[in-house]
Amino acid sequence: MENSISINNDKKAANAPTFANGRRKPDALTDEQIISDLLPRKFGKLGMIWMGILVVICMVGVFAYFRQLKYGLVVTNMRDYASWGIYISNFVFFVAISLVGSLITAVLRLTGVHWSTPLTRIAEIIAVSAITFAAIIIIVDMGRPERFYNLFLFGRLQSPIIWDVTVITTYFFISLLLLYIPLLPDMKILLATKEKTKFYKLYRFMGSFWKGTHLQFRISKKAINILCIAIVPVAFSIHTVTSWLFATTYRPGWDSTNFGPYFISGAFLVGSGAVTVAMYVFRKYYNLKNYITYEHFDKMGKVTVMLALLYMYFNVNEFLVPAFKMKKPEEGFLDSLFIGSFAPLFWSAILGGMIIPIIVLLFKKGRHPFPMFIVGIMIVVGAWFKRYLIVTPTLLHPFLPMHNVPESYKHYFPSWEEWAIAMGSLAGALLVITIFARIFPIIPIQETLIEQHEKEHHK
Amino acid sequence: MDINNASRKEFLATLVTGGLVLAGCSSKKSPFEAGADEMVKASGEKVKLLSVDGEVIEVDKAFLKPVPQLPAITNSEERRGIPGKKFVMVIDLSRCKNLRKCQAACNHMHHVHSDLNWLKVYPMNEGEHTAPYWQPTTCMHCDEPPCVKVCPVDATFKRQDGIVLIDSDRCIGCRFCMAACPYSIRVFNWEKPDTVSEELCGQPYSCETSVPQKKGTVGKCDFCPDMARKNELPHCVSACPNGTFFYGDLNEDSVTNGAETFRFSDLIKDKAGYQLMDDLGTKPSVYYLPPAARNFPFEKGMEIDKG
Amino acid sequence: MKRNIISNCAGVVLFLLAGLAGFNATAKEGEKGPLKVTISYFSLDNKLPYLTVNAKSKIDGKFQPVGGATIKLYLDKDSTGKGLGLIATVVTGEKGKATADIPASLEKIWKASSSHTFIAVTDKTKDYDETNTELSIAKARITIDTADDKNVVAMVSEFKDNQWVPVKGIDVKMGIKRLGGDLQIGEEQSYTTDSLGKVKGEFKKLGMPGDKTGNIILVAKVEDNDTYGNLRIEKSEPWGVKFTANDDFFQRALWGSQFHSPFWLVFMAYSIVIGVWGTILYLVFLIIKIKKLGKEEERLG
Repeated sequence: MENSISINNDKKAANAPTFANGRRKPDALTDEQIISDLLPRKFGKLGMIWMGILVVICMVGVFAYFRQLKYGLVVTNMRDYASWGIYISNFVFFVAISLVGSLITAVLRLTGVHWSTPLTRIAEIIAVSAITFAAIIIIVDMGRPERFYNLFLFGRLQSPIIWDVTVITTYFFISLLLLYIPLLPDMKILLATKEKTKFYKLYRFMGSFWKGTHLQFRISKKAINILCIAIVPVAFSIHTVTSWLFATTYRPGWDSTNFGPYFISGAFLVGSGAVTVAMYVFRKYYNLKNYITYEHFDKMGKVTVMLALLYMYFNVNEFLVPAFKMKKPEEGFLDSLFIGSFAPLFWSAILGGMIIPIIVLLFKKGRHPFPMFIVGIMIVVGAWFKRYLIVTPTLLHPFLPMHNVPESYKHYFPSWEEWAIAMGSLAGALLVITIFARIFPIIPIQETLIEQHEKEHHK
Repeated sequence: MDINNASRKEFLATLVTGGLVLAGCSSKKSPFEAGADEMVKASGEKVKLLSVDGEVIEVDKAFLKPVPQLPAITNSEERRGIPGKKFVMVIDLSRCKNLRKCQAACNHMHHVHSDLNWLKVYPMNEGEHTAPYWQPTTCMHCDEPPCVKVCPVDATFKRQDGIVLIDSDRCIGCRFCMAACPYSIRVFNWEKPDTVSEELCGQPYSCETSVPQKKGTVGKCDFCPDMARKNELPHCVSACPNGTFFYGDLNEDSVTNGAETFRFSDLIKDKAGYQLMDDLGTKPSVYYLPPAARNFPFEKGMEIDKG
Repeated sequence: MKRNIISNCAGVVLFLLAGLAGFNATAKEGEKGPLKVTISYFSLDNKLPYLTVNAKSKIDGKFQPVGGATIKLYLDKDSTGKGLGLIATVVTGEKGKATADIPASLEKIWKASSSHTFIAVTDKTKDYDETNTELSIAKARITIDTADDKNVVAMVSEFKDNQWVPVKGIDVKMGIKRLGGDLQIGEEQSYTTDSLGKVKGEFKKLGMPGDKTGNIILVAKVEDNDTYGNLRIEKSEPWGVKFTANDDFFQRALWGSQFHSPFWLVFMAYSIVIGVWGTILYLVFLIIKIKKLGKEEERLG
């Protein structure tokens, strides 16, 4: 039943005027065509430039971190009041964006949605790479990174940081499995190609045992189902626990029971924004117009609107309720956001990261690839600054006034080292995604073939 | 006189056996152990000294008064704290005029980085028509310490004597405790403290003295348990010329600023003592006496205040 | 000390500059007054006498403790310089203080007289001229006793003509020994001895916590007396309330140590971790199963 619905949708989409500009309809594709379309490709000139830029940004970040290791956290502009800075907001951003893996793969799959199949691998690699860099950036934030092992020697179960370390590790492994198991059938296809690529050995190591027998398919399907169920609570945990790093303190702006759902809804939004951007980029530069269609954008657009509305709902809860009361400790903090020094950033993040996307995406034309790409970027950038606004203004509004400290301790603007490391980590995450797409098919080949066969069968 | 002559042998016996009978008075404790009592352990190092009567006596170095140096205690002892003690502080706001002698003494004795202060003096003013006052803040050594709750590695810990300390050899520098502390008393060594000499740097870290401070770790007021072990007062208490700070043991129901000693419960009752932000449920060990009947006008402190 | 060194350096530089310019000027900044050494004599429980020396100097118009000053302490005048009556050579600490006990070697000199003079000598240093400070004390002792109805009686006597004679008109403080100080037993700050050398004070601090058996330590002391120095005596009396410290401190709590996390937390955390990681292990097992099937297929096919 569900299959037939999705086929009807496909047909509708196929008949849409925007879709009929000389491109082949997907149901006219042969297996060979699909496989050759979806096989990983060597970098073109543009790809090399892109890689080069990312590597350079990463190297600058590594250099900045080297300086930080040498001189201490003094190279940052964090000080006793703003004791956490963009490292932590970047960490929250990474954790947020990694949640998308569970959304696209698990939530949509479990609810019987099939149009998202081509997007699952994009979502999963974003998740894996983001969660990896979340872990890295949290080590960067430590004053004594060489004592990281203390977490295992002396770990206190009472500390939310230990919860965070545990769930992030767990989520990393589950995401890795969810990336790996659906990759197995594609390994067979990759190994079967005529020209042996330099990754042949890697493919053989990872999946030479996949013969595509009925039993193997059955077990892998079972494993994927279990994973889809398991990843949802773990994904909710990573971001809820991350929100608790703030919500378990007394500080104005953090002392909120709303923080868990507020973070999760925001995470889903930024994740869908990131997937939209990735969809556009891969579609364009890997020439996947037949596989990532207007319909996919249209549906992702609708999902994004829903998530943005949800996030707005939690934002209203998060800001309107305390603003209504204006408790004394919260007053300075809220004022700084609404009308004070953080106001331009705050309203840009609210407008650009939430309200404008909602308005644009409500129109059908707004859900076309290019507007979606722009909206996706707005959401992601807005979300990054939103995380900054979650961390910094609260720290600069302590209960007792800021006093008996050098003047520089009373403000916070990241130093070049902080920017370099933060940008380096973002570039690193993109680098991982890019390299992954170079080695493995970014659209699941086997699953596309199966869907194709099913469609033909239904005909 | 005769009492003394009779007691001489007994006294010497007391010292040898470590018994607690003293002639002349019925005190059960050796004079050199009294005062130090359970807080100090014998060092095993004996010195030969002269008594008032000209007798030669042998005394354990650790029981001398004032204590020359304490035998080192282990990290696990530092983590357990002194049994039977519950250290408290009372800060009389009516006596503070922001002289910051407390701050200077504390920074000096703990070799705190020159940008940082463990003890801060805030100009407070609650409302539009309320009177401003100076409020010195130390670590509150909460009985429900939010900083200890969140520490992932037991680097900051609560002891049975009520003191919250930091093990700088274990701290990973995550700064979660700084975010958790509502009193903003925790500071971070963003770089190697400029006040720590190479020689000091090589010394082993002690949780009780909090010296030497280390790069990339958190520091804060430690309530000077090393001084309490010597039956001496924290540096801020003895540095204040106005006697603003009172320190003592809640289990003894007494606090002192060196010159004056008060019964803690009477002082809190008579002067309406309160705790800072006790509505947060942190149960601080520091009590404040309201700035009523002040010794100095608020403006006196403005000369020193640089923000 | 650091400050001294810096100001010295500044002084040298200024001096050189002044010399070059043909002036005969000295640096005025950070100018120090002469070193001032004070000696205090303490006697604890009439047994252990010791000395405290305090070194300070007026720096920038304010008295500041002088640390690192080397002070030689001698007993009685005639032994000065000969090294016979040397009590100790001490170096002041950061707060400008140092203490010295009377070593056993001075037994003869100590016994010879009922009053003594302590001499503190400092040599000339780069910063300060030499100093010579004296303190004379007469041997005295203080006793403490308790009377009915919770009264404390203390007596001060001095050693005169080979016997202990009561002293009149001495201020005596009486209190309860507490951490860092003594809590006075009644309203009066101090009491003055009568012709019998005695003072009597009523113990009014009822209900003070004592030790396990309710003992508190009473203190009688003479402070900074010009003739006798500081005398102090202690006595234990069961006038307090029995106090037993809580031994429930090391209970499980959210702020507890690594091995004292609350049971509900341990239970919840481990059941979640075991549940999730059990699932992950099962999934790994499934992958191994797929691998085995593949190997089998290879062998067969």
